[in-house]
Amino acid sequence: MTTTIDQRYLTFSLGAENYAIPLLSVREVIAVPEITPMPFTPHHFLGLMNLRGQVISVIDLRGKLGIKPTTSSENAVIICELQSGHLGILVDSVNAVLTPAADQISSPPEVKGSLNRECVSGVFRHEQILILLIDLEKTLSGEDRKAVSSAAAGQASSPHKVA
Amino acid sequence: MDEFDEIKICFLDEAEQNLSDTEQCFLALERSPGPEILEKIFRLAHNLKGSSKAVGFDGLGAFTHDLETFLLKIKTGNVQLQPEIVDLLLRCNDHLKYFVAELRANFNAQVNSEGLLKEIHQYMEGRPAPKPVEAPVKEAAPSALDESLAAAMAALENADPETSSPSVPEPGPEFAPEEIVLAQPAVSTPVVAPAADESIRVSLTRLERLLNHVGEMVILHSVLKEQSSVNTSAFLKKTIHQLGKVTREVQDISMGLRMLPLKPTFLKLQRIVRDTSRALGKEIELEMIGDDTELDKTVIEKLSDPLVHIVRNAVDHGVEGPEERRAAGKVARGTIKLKAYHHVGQVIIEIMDDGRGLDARALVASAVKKGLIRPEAKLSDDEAYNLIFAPGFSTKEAVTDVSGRGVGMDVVRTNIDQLRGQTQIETKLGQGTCFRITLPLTLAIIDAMIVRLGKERFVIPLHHIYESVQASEMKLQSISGSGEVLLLRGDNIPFHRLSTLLGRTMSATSESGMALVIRASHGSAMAIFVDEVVGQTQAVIKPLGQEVKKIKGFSGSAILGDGLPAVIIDIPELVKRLYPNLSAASSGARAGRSIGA
Amino acid sequence: MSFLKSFTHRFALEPRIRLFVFPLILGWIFTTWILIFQNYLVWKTGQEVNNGSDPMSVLLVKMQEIESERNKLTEALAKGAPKREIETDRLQVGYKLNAATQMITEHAAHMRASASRSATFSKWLIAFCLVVFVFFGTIIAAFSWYVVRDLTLQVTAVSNELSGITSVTTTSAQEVSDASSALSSGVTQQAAALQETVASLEEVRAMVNKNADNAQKAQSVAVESTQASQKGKEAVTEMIGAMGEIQVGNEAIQTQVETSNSELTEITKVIFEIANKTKIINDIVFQTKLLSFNASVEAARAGEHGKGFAVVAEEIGNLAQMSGSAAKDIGQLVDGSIKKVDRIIKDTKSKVSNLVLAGKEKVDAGTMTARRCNDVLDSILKNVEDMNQMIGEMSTASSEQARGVDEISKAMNQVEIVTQGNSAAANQATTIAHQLNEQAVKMGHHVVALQSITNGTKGARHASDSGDHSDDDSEHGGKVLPMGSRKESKEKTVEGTAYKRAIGAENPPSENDPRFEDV
Repeated sequence: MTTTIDQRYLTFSLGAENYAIPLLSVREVIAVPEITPMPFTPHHFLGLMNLRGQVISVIDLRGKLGIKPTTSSENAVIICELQSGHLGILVDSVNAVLTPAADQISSPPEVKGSLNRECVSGVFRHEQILILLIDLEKTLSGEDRKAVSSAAAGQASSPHKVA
Repeated sequence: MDEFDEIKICFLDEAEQNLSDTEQCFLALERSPGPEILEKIFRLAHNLKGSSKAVGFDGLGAFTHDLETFLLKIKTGNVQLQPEIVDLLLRCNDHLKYFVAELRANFNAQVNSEGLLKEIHQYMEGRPAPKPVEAPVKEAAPSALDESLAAAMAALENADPETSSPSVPEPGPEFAPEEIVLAQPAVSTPVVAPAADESIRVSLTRLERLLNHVGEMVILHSVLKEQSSVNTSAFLKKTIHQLGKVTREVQDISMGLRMLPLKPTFLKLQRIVRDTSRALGKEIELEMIGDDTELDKTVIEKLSDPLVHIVRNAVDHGVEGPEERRAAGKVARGTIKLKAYHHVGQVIIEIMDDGRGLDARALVASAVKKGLIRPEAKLSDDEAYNLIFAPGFSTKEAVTDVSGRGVGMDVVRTNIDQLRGQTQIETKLGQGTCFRITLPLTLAIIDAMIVRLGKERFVIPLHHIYESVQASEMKLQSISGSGEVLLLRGDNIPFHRLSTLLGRTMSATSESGMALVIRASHGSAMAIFVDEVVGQTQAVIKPLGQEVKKIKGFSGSAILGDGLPAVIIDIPELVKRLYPNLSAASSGARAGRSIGA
Repeated sequence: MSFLKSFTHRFALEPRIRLFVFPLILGWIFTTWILIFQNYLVWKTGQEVNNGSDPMSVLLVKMQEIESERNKLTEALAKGAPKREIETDRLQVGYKLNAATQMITEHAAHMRASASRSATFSKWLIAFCLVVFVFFGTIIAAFSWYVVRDLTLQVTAVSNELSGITSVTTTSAQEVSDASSALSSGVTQQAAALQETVASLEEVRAMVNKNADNAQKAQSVAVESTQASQKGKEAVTEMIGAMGEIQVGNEAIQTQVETSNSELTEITKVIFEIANKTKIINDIVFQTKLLSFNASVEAARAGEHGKGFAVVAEEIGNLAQMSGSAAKDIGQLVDGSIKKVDRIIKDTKSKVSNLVLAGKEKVDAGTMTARRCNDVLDSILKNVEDMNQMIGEMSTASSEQARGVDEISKAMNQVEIVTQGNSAAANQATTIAHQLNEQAVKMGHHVVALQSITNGTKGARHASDSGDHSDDDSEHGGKVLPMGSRKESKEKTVEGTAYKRAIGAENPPSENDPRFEDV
């Protein structure tokens, strides 16, 4: 990830862990809005929200990564821009914008289970805190595809019936 | 440099428009030649020449110049108008389109027009017609003509699968992908006016933005309206009401901005039918009905390929050759009818041919052969017909350039799915086939009913709802093994509870509540029980995100009057999802499962 | 009609008188008529004579005419008139002479007729009159004799009765005299008793008045007692009021304390508000933090151009941080304050409550005592009321008594007047009795006279009819019969009894009364 400009990252906390995502993939950060849940969605899929006329799905990243959620007044939703569109992720708190130098970022250690290994694309240290860089696309797509397809499996994609 | 680029792009847009006009004219020329048409063509060509030279597309200009000379000769009568001439002209038109497309991608693109030019000169000098164009088979020796034709065909074909990487390079930031369109005459961005109004070109981005804002305006108005019902002055209420009316108007107009008639698409199909039938040696005429039916631009774009596929299939598989037809006692000339019309908030496009019709048994056999279904599977005729939509399915032995790759029909289905449309097949063996495509009319804003289930609210499109029955007046009957039915005026309507359909626990009280009778288009009726019908609203449809798009039964999301989003549910889909065995035949589902995996 | 009635009544012998009178009248009328007629005739004749319409006069006129004619003729002859004229005149004279002669003859005959008629008429008239007169004369004589006789009888009867009445009257007069003297004495006694009664009545009246006065006095005393009791009650009420005010004052203190407490609570509320605002600040801090992140995002998008903005965004974040910590401090301070205020409120409340309670108890006791006084005064008042009422009754009774006495007095006066009247009446009665007696005597005299007249004309026969009355009368002449003797006439026993009853005498003496001996 070497670019002329140091990549800036938005760091946030999930439980006791700190994560970061590229600032460019962040569209907005907002307080937790009213979310309309949707049926047949996996547990971490919180539902839909209205952001100035746009309907955006909100996912609880903590649930996705298997972290115990804590409700605090600092909970926020980060609206991310993904290839497939916009997505909101609920985090425990949004911390800071950091610009780690490229050489500060190292590849992830083989610590966590296979669940997170795909998702974490790197780590870096900032003031004694270990921050994990998340690749959102990978994190969301894989899981979602599985989850969605399992939800869709109930229907078994039959072709359109003729009257 | 940038401004000049703009001019070039502008020119290219205009050129496309002109070229579609000329194509129309050429086709008309074939049928009923007349001096006015020639005049028109000549004028268009002249314009093209001038403009292209002006913006610096010299290559294009040169070619056009020769074409113009040729046309002049035809006009003055020096060159006789023969079918081959028209052929040539059409080819030139294609070439020009190709050229324009190339120029779009790269302003400095060069295209070899040698072959065509030579031909043109031949005709101008009064040489006899060159050898007729053979069926474009990939194996044949590519001549210049063939090349260009093949290129054109390829270009057309390449446009088909939307999911494959678009051969469209990334333009500058100003040009959103929608604006880039291949050699398809159907898509241009002028503001469509039905009569010869003055028109103006508007960038699609702007239109998108406008429509977005209009959509948000509608939402905001709904919110305002809901809030105003709680103790506000009468004056304020009146103003909000008026605002609503104006908003509705603006909405209608702006929705209309994106609407284009199907005519260009149909014309393109006409061209394809002509070319393909010629290539295959069949005599087929294309009838167009309702070509002034309007659809949203995006829909037309997405619809274009499926229609091409279906038509080509009809020409290729559906309609027989003249001898076969005569043997079957039919008129030698086959007819493909393209019909488009509005019906209850939907657009219906029908492609009917009077050809062979589909043979269910043959289809089944083919499917078995391809390993798509198990040999012992029992399919109904309907299910058999739907087999053609399965990917990888084709009964054609030889892979022709036209079709046979088996990629076509499933793409068709996918595209139409994406448009939230439906495809249906009606066929009679020996008499013909009819493909019917049903599309929702407006993508963005629909009239819908808000229903409540427990604390959640859902939206049902209004044109799905047929009738409502109060809970106290419901007459239910349990049928073992099939659930409940609602007795309504002698009919037994399958009765479902929304809570069950959505996997929620049933609400305690069933005294209050409402049963809504849903009738899917061309489908059977069913009744859904909800806790409450909250009201009617105009919902701006927001597409669901990628993650949840695939969940059947939810066709989108809408923002309600209080600003919260609600899911738009498609009841038939939900029912199908939960009780796949319940609708139509059970075996179809099994077949589908094996196909779809 | 009444006149006519009285007229007919005057005559006791009505039918006979009528029979007598009518013919008289008729005859008179007839006679008169005749006379008138005669006179009329005479008059008529006289008239005729006067105006020359009687035949004689006419005749005379006629003769004169003839005379004149004759004269004329004479003249004519003398003058030597024509023969014809003279003949005519002569004829005329002749005619007139004939006429006159005729007339005279007629008249003479007529006169003779009428004279004979009138002579006949007069004859018959005279005869008739004579007859009538004789007839009526006879009748009249008969009747007058009859009538006279009747009259005499009746007068005698009446005079006898009168005599009897006289004696009765005399007796009655005497009795009346006795009665009245007895009445007089009785009345005198009555008057005396009356005087005594009046005197004692006066005494009673005096006592009654005295009672009334005393009652008045007692009443005014009662009124004074009532007033005094009322005053006492007022005083007690005031006292209760004063106690109540003490209570109110106590409660006011409590209320005031509560107000202060609630104000303190208000302060707590304000502090809560501050806490809320702090919360809001916290929210704002949070939002600001998000905003700074969003700003950073946008700055990143802007690439090169966004660098400056990124710095700004960071600063905003820092500010947000600082605000956040300051807000936290405030929050803590606020919490502490709230706790302190709460404690103060609680303490004050309990302490004041206790004090107020103690005060209240004392006030309650005082109030109770006052109420007892009140009750006692009330009972006094009630007694005085009763007494008042009784005095009132007494007063009323006295006044009624006085009124009664007055009435008795009045009655007594009346009685006295009546008594006096009675006395006077008695005296008067006596006097009248005397007068009556005198009158009776006089009447006796007159009766005697009357009897003598009737007896005189009729002789001894009548004298026996008159009875002893006339004898007595004649014997005693105008002597007054002694009072006390009662004389009765035998004939008039029944009638005399009727009269006696009217006066009120006892049984009439029997027929065998020696007084009747004389007759």
